[in-house]
Amino acid sequence: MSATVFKKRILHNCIALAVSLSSASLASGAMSSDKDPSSAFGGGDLADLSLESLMNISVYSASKSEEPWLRSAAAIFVLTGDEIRRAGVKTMPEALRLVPGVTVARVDAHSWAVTTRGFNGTLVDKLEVLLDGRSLYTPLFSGVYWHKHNILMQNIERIEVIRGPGASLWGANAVNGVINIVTRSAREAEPLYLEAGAGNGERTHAGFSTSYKNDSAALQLYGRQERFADFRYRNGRSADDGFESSRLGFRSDIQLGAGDSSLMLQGEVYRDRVSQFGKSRDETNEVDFILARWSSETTSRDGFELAAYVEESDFSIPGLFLEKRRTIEVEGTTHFSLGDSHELVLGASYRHTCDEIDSPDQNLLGFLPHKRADETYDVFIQDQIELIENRVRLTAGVKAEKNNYSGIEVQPTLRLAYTPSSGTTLWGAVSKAVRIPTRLDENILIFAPSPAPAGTVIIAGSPNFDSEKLVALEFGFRQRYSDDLTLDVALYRNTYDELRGLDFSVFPAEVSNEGEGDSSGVEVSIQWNYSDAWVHRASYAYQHIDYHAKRGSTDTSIKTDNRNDPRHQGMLHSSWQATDALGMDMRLRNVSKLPDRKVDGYTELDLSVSWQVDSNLRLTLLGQNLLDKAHPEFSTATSETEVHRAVVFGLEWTY
Amino acid sequence: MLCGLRFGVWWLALVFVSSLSLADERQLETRVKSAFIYNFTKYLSWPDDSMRDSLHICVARDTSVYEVMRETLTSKESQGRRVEVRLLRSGQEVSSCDVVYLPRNHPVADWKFELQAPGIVTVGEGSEFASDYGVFGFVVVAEKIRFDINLGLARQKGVRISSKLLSLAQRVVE
Repeated sequence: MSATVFKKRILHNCIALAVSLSSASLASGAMSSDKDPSSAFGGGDLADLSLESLMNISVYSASKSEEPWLRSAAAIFVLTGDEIRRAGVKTMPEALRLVPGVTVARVDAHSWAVTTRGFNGTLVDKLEVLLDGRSLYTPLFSGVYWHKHNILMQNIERIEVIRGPGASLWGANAVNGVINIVTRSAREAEPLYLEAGAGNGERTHAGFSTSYKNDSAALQLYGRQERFADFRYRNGRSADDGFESSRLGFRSDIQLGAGDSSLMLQGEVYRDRVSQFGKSRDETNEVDFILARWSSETTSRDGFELAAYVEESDFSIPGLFLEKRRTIEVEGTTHFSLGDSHELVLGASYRHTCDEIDSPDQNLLGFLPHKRADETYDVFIQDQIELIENRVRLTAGVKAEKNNYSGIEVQPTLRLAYTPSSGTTLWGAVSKAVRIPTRLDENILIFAPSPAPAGTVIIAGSPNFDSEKLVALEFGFRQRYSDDLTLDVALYRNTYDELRGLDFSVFPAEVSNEGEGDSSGVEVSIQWNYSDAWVHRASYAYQHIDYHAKRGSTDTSIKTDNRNDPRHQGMLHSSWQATDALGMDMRLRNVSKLPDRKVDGYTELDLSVSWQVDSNLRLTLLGQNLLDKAHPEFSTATSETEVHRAVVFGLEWTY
Repeated sequence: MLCGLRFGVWWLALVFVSSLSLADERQLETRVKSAFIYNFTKYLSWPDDSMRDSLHICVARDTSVYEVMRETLTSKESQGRRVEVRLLRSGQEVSSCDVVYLPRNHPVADWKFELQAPGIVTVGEGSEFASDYGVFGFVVVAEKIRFDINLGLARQKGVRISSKLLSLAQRVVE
């Protein structure tokens, strides 16, 4: 994107911000004339009004209220859509690599291990991931299938990442962090956008987006297809792990009434095919969803939102595993101010998920019962109190959740932010979060592999499995030295209990709360805007995790699997808009070793160059993992694949 | 609730289609701007040799804005002339217009030369438009429509603007 387009964006955002600020201050006066005179007029009568009358008519305008994250009492980072596009990345986990403190490890062609603050793996269950308010984790094991969410990067407005427990607002499973992905309004979509790209290792992608707008509604239709060929094992053999996916979806944003409420509708069909155990055992997936969100802003600080979605999925590995699932969720939130110093958020939600699981291979795994329906109810309240105006702010929040596995869970948080001057914030927080048991914890059956007789259970889930618990203590310091230099530091100390392990004192072994541990760490990030066109960011995260089986436990699985997180992670990120047409983005990253994964530490370089050829066409070149021909980032029992150096060429055409 | 009840893909088509019809057809902002432009013409004087029987208000390229403006200004008259709304697809057609409205300032760069001709009153969006290419630039302030006037450019084009209109402008550039 050229610098003039950047500047136009900034100008439009400034106009929108100016309009929303002035409309907030004029709100009380404008209220009476809100039912504007033109509502009574048809097409021709407006032209009969005098200029003075015309100048009194209110027309809606998009207003955005930016969260003043500088004062926020949490380890939050906001990655903008523009930063993602400048970095040239085309998958969601690669976009998350740009966020300081997020651990992203590529396992193979289709699998990723993504976490914040530890416990990484392909089944990471301590992170809540939301896309436009829709939870992306599967209730089967509380994890995210990252390869299913490589949406059009063009559509991303921003990604907010909160490291640390966000449970009181975002719910259970937001134990170590929350990733909130927000897509752009259909109003911002171009009339026509096309993209295509190809890279070595037979990696291809193609996508389109088209939109139609009038004054009160915008409708966007989009599609995307991508393909990744098989990776290779360390010994050179093909890992048979490639995948291809396609999706077709729409989003519409409709202004209602006089302009203070809006309706957003989204829907998508998604299909993919993943190589798993040879051609005949390819895994296929179908995911379809519809989402509706109605929001109403009565003033710039008060509002109400109601959202609902239905998602249906089919996950199938022929002969091995078939899961059909349908999830319905309805949630309502309201935010309002009380007096001069309280800002409240209240919310409630209901979720119903039901499934049917078939696993005919009785030498592998199964779920008992085959069918299950689970309901979750929750309510939450958060109060942000200005104890001393613009200086000290206390946030108290709590969420109470009732679920079918562990009953009622209460997750409170207390946060304090102290802003002695406009550029400095010190904050501290104490929170409790839980990871609710899943279908896997309670219902899984692991069978003895052949040649043992079919149906011999060696490990079984248990209804006695309780939720995992976390108590977190966090501190942070944020300093803005000038308009161009910001420092952000976060420290944390987490105490975990009831972590999942196996109880070998019985046969079959039982999934049980055998583990406990603590972790502590520090995350530092410095951003330096050398000029309007050249931005540098340096970040470093240190974490020390001590995760072990409890005293007296018979678990033997934890100690071989408890050092999967790098002690050090660092990144240097530099983004340079060299000319109006030419932009470059460089990331140098270092991740230290994963002892239990037998993966060495590595340093890698990603470089992307983009050239705005003319007002419609943009060419991009992305070089990934340039320093080594191949290196492993994570390994699992079935996969010791390596990530290869890659060069991806792309083009984007906008009308 | 039965898990067996599945919605399937056809729901998506239903929602997609209904979101098209839910779109409020009022299109308020465009109608109000059309009314503004019509009102502007009552306070302008064109150079004598470009007077025609009808007053041509042209919309650059945007079909949906053109249709709304045509509907808003049906059977209107300004200074004794019938108002005719036209859709412009190319720069060559600009010379047949008295007023050219460029919604979202598109495609002002391509038609810069034709738009500079005398007698063509250009209307666009934003204060910047009024300083660079336009005689009138709409600005939305606190959800109300205002406009900037480039008086110097109007003079160059031989177009006179009544002081009443100048007094209602948010900003007048010389």
